[in-house]
Amino acid sequence: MKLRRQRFENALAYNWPLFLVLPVIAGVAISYLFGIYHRPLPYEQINIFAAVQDVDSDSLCDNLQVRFSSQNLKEVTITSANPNDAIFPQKLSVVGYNRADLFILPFSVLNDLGPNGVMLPFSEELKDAYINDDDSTYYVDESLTFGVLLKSASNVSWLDEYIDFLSEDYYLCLNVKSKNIADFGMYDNAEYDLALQAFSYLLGDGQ
Amino acid sequence: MEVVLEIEKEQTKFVKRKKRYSFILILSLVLFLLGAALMVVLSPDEYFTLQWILIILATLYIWGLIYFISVPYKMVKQYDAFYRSYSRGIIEHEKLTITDFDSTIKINKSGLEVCTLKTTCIDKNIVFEREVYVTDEKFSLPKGMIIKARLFRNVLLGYEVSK
Repeated sequence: MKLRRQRFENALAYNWPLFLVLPVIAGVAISYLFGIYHRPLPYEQINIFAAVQDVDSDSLCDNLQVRFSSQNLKEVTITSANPNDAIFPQKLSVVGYNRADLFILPFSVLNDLGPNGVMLPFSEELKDAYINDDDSTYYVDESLTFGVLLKSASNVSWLDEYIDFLSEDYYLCLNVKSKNIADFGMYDNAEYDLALQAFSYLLGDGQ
Repeated sequence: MEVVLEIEKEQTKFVKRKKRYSFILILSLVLFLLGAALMVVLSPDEYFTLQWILIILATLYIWGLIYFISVPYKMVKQYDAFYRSYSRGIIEHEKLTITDFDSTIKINKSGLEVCTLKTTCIDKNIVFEREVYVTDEKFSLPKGMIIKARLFRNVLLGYEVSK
């Protein structure tokens, strides 16, 4: 073939969009493959659902990321919703129940939703291992403990720096479907307890 | 009859070339996909740089594929189509007087790389100029020679010197 260059120029003149579109498609496919392959596994991420006015999610996520980076935490996400918004119940049931590991909920919301079947009832073993304060106040429903007081309406918390709480008592709860709560929930994976460690960390003083 | 272009022989040659290009295309595609998959699988968590390296490699591969495989493959297909159409096409016989030969190679409508043989022919006592395509660039006949040409789609297949 002596006129390869001329043939190439002819092809370029007629099919030049192909020369651009094919690399773009390849680039998108490669990027997608990398994204899929490196997507954090359920036990490498923590999802928090916060029923608050506002939250500085970037700073709080960074804080948790730094704190647990040595424990293979790859991603932290915080979804916030204001309980006074009309869309709040849908957001809680669709995003919260399906994705969240931890819930930061005010007393009124906990009371309305009825946590049985959604939140993890705390066992004595869980309390001993992950709640350091013996004087903690719990949210109890039908003699089961579903939440621990994170911040009372009258007190200040280290989380005030990141979260704009409503003037209510706030409880920290765990999703029964979380894969990050060792073997306390629905899944028997004792070695993955990142959500419980984050739970313990949030209940502490941020140190 | 002097043969300029042996259709059957050429057709066999181009069928082989078509197979070779198909094989190279598939092989390079398999190797590229395998390499890309390995890069993805073996990539570290901080894969941003590697991802862009792979995107650049993919772009170069695609452009290279078009230049080195797709363009020649299309040419081979055009030659193959030309040779296959020979079996059901019309073969023309024409008495031509050679006036010149232009050895510059160009691509004709069928996608063949050809040189131009400038000739004249007489029809109803009127002299017409006619350009005939020749696939052999070393083709040489003296000016003024009259030949009985055998043509297919204006490409010279063979000739017989006429007195």
